[in-house]
Amino acid sequence: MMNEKSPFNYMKELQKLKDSFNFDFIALALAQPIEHYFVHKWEYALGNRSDRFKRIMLKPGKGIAGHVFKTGKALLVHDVEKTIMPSELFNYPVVATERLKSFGAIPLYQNGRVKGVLLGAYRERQQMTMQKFSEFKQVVDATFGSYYNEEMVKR
Amino acid sequence: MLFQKLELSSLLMKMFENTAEVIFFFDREGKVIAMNDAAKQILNPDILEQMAKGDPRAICLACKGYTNEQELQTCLSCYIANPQDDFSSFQVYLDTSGKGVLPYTASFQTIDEENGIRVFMLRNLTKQFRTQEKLNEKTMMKNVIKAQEDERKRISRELHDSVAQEMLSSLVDLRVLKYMDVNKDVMAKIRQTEGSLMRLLDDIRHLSVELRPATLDDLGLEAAFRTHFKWIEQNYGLLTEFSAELEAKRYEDEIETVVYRICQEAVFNALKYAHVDVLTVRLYEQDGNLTLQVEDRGIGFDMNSRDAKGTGLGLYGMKERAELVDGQLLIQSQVGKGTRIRLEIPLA
Repeated sequence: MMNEKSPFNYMKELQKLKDSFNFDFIALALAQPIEHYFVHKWEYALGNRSDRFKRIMLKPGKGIAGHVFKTGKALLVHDVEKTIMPSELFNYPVVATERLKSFGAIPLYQNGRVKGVLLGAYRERQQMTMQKFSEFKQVVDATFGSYYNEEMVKR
Repeated sequence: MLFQKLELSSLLMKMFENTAEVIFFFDREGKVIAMNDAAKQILNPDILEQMAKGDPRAICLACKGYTNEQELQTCLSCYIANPQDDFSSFQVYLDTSGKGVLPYTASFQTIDEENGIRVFMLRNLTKQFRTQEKLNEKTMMKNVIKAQEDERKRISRELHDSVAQEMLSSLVDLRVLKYMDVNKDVMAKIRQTEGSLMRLLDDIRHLSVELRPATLDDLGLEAAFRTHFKWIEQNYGLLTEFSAELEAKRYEDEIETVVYRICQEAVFNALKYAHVDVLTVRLYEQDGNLTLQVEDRGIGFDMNSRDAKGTGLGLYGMKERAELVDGQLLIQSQVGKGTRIRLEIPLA
């Protein structure tokens, strides 16, 4: 469990996830506190080709992170070439610049709000299967203690 | 005299036989009594056959009506049935062999009152029409671009001046709540709502700028470009190396709009297709021209290839816009080397 006093070592956890799933690319975007106008950026990443995606300010509803932030639902794209039209690809800057071909993105909740998005991706097509994606979700649930990845549903 | 008359009739015969003008002679009943080769060429063989048989309505098989004040193609008070009316110049549509229905400029005149002989002369209008159409298209395009720009400006202003202002005052109202005596839960909810409102306000402002930047109207090209490139960087991570060496701060409204829109399009093209992380934009004055240069070292494209990657309308639209201010647009690209867009606008 995460200790309140010592900062959570995101990079270490990302590296572990990357290794165990053989991801080509993994990145984490965290929501900023309200004073920063809810500007999100990809803050932690491993396996990136360039730093271009770090310049991008994520906006709700735009791109992968924006989509997950807004809907609060996990997103699985088994094959980018089949799901995203080439003419629309520029609207997904991370996918385009990092040349991702198959990925899954998971929302991280805190107090009923999406506080972060975790993206695990491959540069080869059809690598992220349903099976792998649900394993990914389970592992994330166990690692990112103070966050949880399922939407709170009143039963 | 006799000699002159002979010469004239031979000249007239030559004209009748060789001119591109279509000539028919009709008798009182509307039967074709003579026609030239040009006439034979444009009519369908079966209509010619009907004419040879002396059918007075044969011409109606080819005629698709003439243009009067009410309609483009009509048979109302037909020129053949009403020879007493003035039909010295009008427009008529004929079904021609192989080329479909074409417009002709025509004249229908009685040349022999006694025997009721009338001549029907036609000249093909297609070419003139095409010239006219091109001209119309140009003016139309200009008007469309202007209308679009005006409408964008209106909506952008509306969003910025009224919607965003209203939103801001609600935000202030909400902030007042924070200083009232409320419990912790309510406070947390207020903070959340404040955040959402702030984000919404931000979105509206972005939308307004995206439609048409107020900076362009208020502060000019350089400022508008800097804002735009910042926005591109934040949204797409694409870096723009921008340098502006301008003698004047402001230019004509129309010129500024054209330069801004063309640059916007060029940068978007680089973003979408060039596969680059950096591009260069230069804006400067040289030899009385305002010059914009957008350059990338991306994958380039084949200038002669006919299949465009996008809609293929982008480059066309850029050229059209350039022509609005008598500007010249030069597009150079080489596969594997990159692309350069250069726009020159005379400032005189």
